[in-house]
Amino acid sequence: MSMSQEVLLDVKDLKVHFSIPSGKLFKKPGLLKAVDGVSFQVKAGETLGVVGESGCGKSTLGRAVLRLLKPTDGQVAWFGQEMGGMKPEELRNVRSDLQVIFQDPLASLDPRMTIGQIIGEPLITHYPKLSKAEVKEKVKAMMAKVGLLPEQVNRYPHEFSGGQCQRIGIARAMILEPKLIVCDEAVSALDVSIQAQIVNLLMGLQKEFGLSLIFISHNLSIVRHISHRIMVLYLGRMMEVADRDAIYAKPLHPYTKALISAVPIPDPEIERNKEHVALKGDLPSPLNPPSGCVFRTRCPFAKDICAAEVPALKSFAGGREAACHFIEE
Amino acid sequence: MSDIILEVKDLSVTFSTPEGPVNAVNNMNFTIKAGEALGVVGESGSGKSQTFLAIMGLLASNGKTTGSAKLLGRELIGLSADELNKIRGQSMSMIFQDPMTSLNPYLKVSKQLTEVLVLHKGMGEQAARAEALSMLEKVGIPEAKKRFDMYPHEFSGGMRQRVMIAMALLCEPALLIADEPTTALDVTIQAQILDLMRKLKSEFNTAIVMITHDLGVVAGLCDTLNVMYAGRIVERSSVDEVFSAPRHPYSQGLLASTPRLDEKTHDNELVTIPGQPPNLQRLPQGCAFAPRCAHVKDRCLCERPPLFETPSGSHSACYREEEVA
Amino acid sequence: MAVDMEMNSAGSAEKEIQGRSLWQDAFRRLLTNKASVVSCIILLSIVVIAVAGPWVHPHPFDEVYWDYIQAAPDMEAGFYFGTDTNGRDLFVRTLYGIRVSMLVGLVATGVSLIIGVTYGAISGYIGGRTDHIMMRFVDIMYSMPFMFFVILLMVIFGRNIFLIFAALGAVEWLTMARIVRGQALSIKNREFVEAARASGVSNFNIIRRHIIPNALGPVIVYVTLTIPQVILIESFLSFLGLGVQEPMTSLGVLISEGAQQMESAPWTLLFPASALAIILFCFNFIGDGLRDALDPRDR
Repeated sequence: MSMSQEVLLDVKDLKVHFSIPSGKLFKKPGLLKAVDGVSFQVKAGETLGVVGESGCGKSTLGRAVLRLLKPTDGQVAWFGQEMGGMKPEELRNVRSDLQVIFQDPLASLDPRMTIGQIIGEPLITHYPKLSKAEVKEKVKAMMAKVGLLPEQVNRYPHEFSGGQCQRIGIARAMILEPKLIVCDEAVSALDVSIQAQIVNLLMGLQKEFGLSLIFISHNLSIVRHISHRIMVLYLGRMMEVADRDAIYAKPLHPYTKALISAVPIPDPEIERNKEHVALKGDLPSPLNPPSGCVFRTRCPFAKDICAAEVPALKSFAGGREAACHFIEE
Repeated sequence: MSDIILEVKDLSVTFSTPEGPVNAVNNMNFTIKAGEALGVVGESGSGKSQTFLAIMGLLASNGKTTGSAKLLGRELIGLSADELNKIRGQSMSMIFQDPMTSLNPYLKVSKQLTEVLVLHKGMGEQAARAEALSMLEKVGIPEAKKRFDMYPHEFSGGMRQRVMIAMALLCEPALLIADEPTTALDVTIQAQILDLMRKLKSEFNTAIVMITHDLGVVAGLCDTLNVMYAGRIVERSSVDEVFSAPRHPYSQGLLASTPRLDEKTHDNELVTIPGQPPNLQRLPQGCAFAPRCAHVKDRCLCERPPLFETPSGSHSACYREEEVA
Repeated sequence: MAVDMEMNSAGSAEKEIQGRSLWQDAFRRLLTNKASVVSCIILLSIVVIAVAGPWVHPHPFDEVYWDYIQAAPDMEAGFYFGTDTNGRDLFVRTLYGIRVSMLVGLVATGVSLIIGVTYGAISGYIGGRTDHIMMRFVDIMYSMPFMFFVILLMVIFGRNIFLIFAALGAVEWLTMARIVRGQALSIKNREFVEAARASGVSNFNIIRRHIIPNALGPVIVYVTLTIPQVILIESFLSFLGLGVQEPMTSLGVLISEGAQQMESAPWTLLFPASALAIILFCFNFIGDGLRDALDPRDR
């Protein structure tokens, strides 16, 4: 990645906190820090992978970037302009450049609408002057592009398989030719052979349109394949961010290390001789995260300082960053 | 080591639906030995779960099983619900993707575990409690004593799966069937559960069936592998062989389309299997994989290939084996 | 039912495949339900007879036949259901009663449908404080004593059939709003609504295009149960003497009159009461069938 690339999205110290009813009558509601101080940039044409376990805030992060959720604190800037301060009209314009693909292919399509209506909806929203014939023509062209048969434009979502439904979702996201698509577990619900088709489709579209992607997934193998840079989250905090090859070749943060070693490799030779260190114990409750470094309760290297101080995100060679007290240059 | 635990012959499962009968599983033949871990992989709708639900006698009410499945020499197909109930939990157990479906949310974990022992082994309440507690410790529940009298919802997902495994192991079954036990879990927790299952295999000599879609899970745990497609076994051989030299085009495609964490180059396209998973109600006449196969010949379109034995002793349902032989 | 974007094939030669919508699926399932289909046919015939009957029938509904006071059913004279205490033809009066009762049922339900669906969808979709305030208002309306409310209206504005519509509609929309709000709450978190929000679709269009069509299933079932309920309430009001004004009549008025003559002239009770019972049965069977058809998982 060259440094001259344009920065599309600049997220600084993003926080999303939810108040959770305590379940007791007179007790104050608890505070769930789903995303707690996350900063990153997305440049034109690049894919940022976001990985982490359940409850790490990766989906919340995606929704906050899309402004489906209002962040509690921090800045999300689109081409240098802060989205929090935008007028509804400006925000609507940004939305045509910022799209989303969800995990459950069928649930993300309105069951009562035809494929044509679903894919065409963003189009008639942003270009109300287009005639019906023009909308249909564009929808059909996009269907062909994502590998659907254009003559199926009048069918309904329940008549398609999961992989095809995901293609419909991609066509809807692509119809406005956006600059950035947030893929929230976009291939996790699909069969292995279909996953590969969708990953290839996304990478092909990226090449053709110079698209940027935020690829949120718990599947590290796929994230490694599709991403240029990878960000690792744990309990709403950033643990590490680096180029994909660097992060897999030499993970800096102990959590990244553990995560990578836990992923089974489809090769019996390697698997049998591998040390399955993994991590001891479970994720702590996000409602009551550990003090200091959130990872310390499962970290094999934790010392006293980890409980006392939150480790700052430090920069390392090659533009990578990690948050741990014990990483040496 | 070579005692046969489960022997399945010509097992078929048919579901009657408003749109006509659906053959979910066709003519399955395989055996599992003690201490062996069998992996079963395939896409959704390949019949990988239905095969074992049929063996357990847990099919949905519109399903019908034919053929034979012998557990320790005893025929299971056609047994009454009562007799099956006795065998289930005693000589074979099954764990599922979502542990909450098999745990009663209103009963304490201790109660659910001891019940199994009292019921199947006729143990006294006190002895059963002690036995159950020691099993919880064996499957690696930290502070098992403290958690023993908690309710299932107070356990985390990985913990619940451990409780399920503990419950499945209480009567020391000869066969443990695991249906996607780690799919809903995080990778670090998955690694813990897989470690536990490896331990079961080596310490208790339990025969394990691992139904999964994750080839990585198979590689780390299993000895043999059934690759299923559209209700049939398309390849059956040792794990080493399938991973190093897959024979059936579907297995080859499956392996090639799985991205690997340790791959060297990434900018290449993933190899894919074109097309969509088969619709069991509209299967083609010949080989079910033919519409997606790169090596398809005229013969594949009209005649279904049987399971050929390959020179190395594995099995593959593809006419290419004939040419080699 | 979904927003129809009937687009003529635009510059493409290949033939478009027509899909099968969920509504069509549901309709097909409804047609396999015997009780519902029979009920539909009976109900339709009753409506046709009630609408067309008085035109063909020789006796007007308000003419008094002095020779036939409280006469038993008499085919030759054309009094199929006999006459009432005032010597009016009961058959034609029953038909008028069905007309009025059905009209009250349909209009009041229609009013409650429009208000309830709009109110509930907005409340559920917007959520938060707006939802709180809107639903508290519904709660307050619920706690108003209904009879008191109706009597008050009657006293202020006098007896008037439109008042009955208004009064019934004002009460029935409350439950409708609650049902739709519940649906909207679950639908708004579905991913297709998030996708629409993410692409900048306005709230109005999301409610119109996504929330309402997807909430309609339970609403339709509830409508088929509301119509008979409204008919019953109207009958009850009429029975109490708060309903439609003589010489106009409704099933409730007829039943009320018939009940007084139950021993001397049982037919004056029997025929209107049977008509009411049959109509209620039909609506309930149709409602049942619709529920199964729209939500096949529950079978």
